[in-house]
Amino acid sequence: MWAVEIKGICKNYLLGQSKVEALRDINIKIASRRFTVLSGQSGSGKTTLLNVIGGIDCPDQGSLVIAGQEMSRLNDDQRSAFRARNLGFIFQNFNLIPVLSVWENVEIPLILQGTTVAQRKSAIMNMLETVGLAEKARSLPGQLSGGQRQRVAIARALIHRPSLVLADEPTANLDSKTGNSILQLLRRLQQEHSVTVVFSSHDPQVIAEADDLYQVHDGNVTRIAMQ
Amino acid sequence: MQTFKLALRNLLRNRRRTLSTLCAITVGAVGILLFGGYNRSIEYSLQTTFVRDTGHLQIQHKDYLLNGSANPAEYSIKNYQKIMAQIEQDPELRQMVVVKTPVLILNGIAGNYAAGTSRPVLIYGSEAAGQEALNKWDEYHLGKGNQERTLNEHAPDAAMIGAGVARMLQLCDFIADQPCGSSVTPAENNTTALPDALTLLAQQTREERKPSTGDQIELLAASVGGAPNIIRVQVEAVQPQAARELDDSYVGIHLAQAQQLVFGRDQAGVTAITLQLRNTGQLEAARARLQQLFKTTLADEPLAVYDFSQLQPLYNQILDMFGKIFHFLLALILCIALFTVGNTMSMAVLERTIEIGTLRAVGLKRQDIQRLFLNEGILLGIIGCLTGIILSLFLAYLINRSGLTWHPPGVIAPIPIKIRIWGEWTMLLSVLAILMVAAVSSSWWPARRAANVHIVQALRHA
Repeated sequence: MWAVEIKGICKNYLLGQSKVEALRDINIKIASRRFTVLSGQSGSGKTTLLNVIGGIDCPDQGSLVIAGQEMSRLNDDQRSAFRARNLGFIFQNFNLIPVLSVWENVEIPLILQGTTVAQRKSAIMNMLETVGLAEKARSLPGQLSGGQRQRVAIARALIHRPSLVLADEPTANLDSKTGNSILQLLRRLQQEHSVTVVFSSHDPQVIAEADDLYQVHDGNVTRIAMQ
Repeated sequence: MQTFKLALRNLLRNRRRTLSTLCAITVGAVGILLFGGYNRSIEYSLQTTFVRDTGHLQIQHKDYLLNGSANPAEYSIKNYQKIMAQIEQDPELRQMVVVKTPVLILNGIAGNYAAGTSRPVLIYGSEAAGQEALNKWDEYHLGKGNQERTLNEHAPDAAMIGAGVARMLQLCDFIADQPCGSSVTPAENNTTALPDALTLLAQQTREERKPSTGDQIELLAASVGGAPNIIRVQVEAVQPQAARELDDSYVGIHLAQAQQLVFGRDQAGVTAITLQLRNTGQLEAARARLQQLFKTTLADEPLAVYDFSQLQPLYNQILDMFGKIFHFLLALILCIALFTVGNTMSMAVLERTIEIGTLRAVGLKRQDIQRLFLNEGILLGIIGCLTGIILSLFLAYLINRSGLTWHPPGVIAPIPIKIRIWGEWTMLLSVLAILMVAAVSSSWWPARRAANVHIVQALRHA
């Protein structure tokens, strides 16, 4: 089964008086349990495509099926519930909640699932150990380095065992060494958890790790390689 | 619980702003409660004064209130003892009425012939035991009043007068601490002379009786049929009245003396039967029962019943005035609270736009976001109100022990400033509820805006 099926997706934005075609008739299928990279320059439409896949933006036309669910049939609350259950997000700027500790940030998706306290405790402890932040559980995001914050974001994105993780240039704000360690961590977890990861980046190191590669250019998407 | 924890943490993010918002709510709560407590104190104080004076209810001749003061004999209740017995026997009223006592109030002239002075007065004839019982009423635990109008039961011609009456009649022995005595010679002083038509009567009376000495005064009033009548009474003490007008005209005598003055040898009556209840909350029930009796067992008596606020219209006027001031103050403070909390929440939404986008992206619904911000408003309201309540209780404690006083218009004696908050649960809960509603209402719009933020635009927000 395909993790994501996109048929005829178009997305336009109004920029002042002019209309920008961010996505033009996209037709792609993203395979399950693979590390897929969307590459392209800034402004090519990578983030827009990720937003549409993630259900946080609605296409103007076309069909989007994620894990067998036709997204256009869902209302806003249903899309939110779908995201909570099936998707994980990793952002370029980490987007951690600053007043919550590492533990509490990672806990958010599990709370939305309605898991018990005991279940959450066990899962979070394991995940924090996996990402190497067990001793930072009570720290606030402001007390962490960039790399540590992104590890927390990865933990948050994977804690609830989603079927699809969307990462929008998560290494862009990190130095190359840290970025590479984040990339390796995410790659390892993708394989361990058998989760589909869609990673947008124009970093050659990231592209080199891809199982599947798509080139995004001026709102068009072209499949480049499949391993 | 989780959203409240998050809400509290978010409030602590910008402590200065949160503190200033809390101060606005706290100060608002203190203002409302202190004035409300003061309002309540005035209400209880006034009510206690009036209930001790006129009871909760008075049974009168049905036309007395309109016409009776000019002709008390005509508009008196003749069978008052029968009516009082009926009230005593009624099982419903017996539970509620603690004091029932007759009174006879009339206008007359008091004269001190030895000093050649006289003065129109309000003569208040009552039973000493009844008046003493009325003075004991203390539903609001204010303690003994300043006025205790209890005449000597063993002196049937005893009288108590206002300080102004004593001064004007030149009974200087009773007002040693005030200037007393005329500054003009008696021959020049015609202003206090008896009306010409009664001068002859006075002369005749003087020839028949010994001239009044020291503490004796004469009381003259119209009796049954309009003929003037005079009695002599012995002033026992001066009882200063709170209001200047009453202080300058009050004369209290035994009921029997007053009845002799008005009715002479005719069947004596009273102008009112004063009823005092266990507590004011029973007033309407007692009134309803009395009106029932007026239609049944007392149907042959032309009676009406009035409560103390009808007999003393000043009561409702004062309460109404303070009530309007209170509501104006409340509205003002509510506006301040609304703007302050609304502004704080709007700033919070703006500052946390990216965070809102992130939470929505990971799966929180619009209503979850709305609840998050509403909870912050609720927390601000709760903390501000509770702090305000505690602070106002403390300030009320200090004020009540400070000895501060004020002079209401037309009142001679200073009235202590008291604030009653503790025990006024209805007022406390009402203020808490109103401020909470204000806090939540002013958070609602920013919370709604936060909930409707477009996720993509929020994530892009700089």
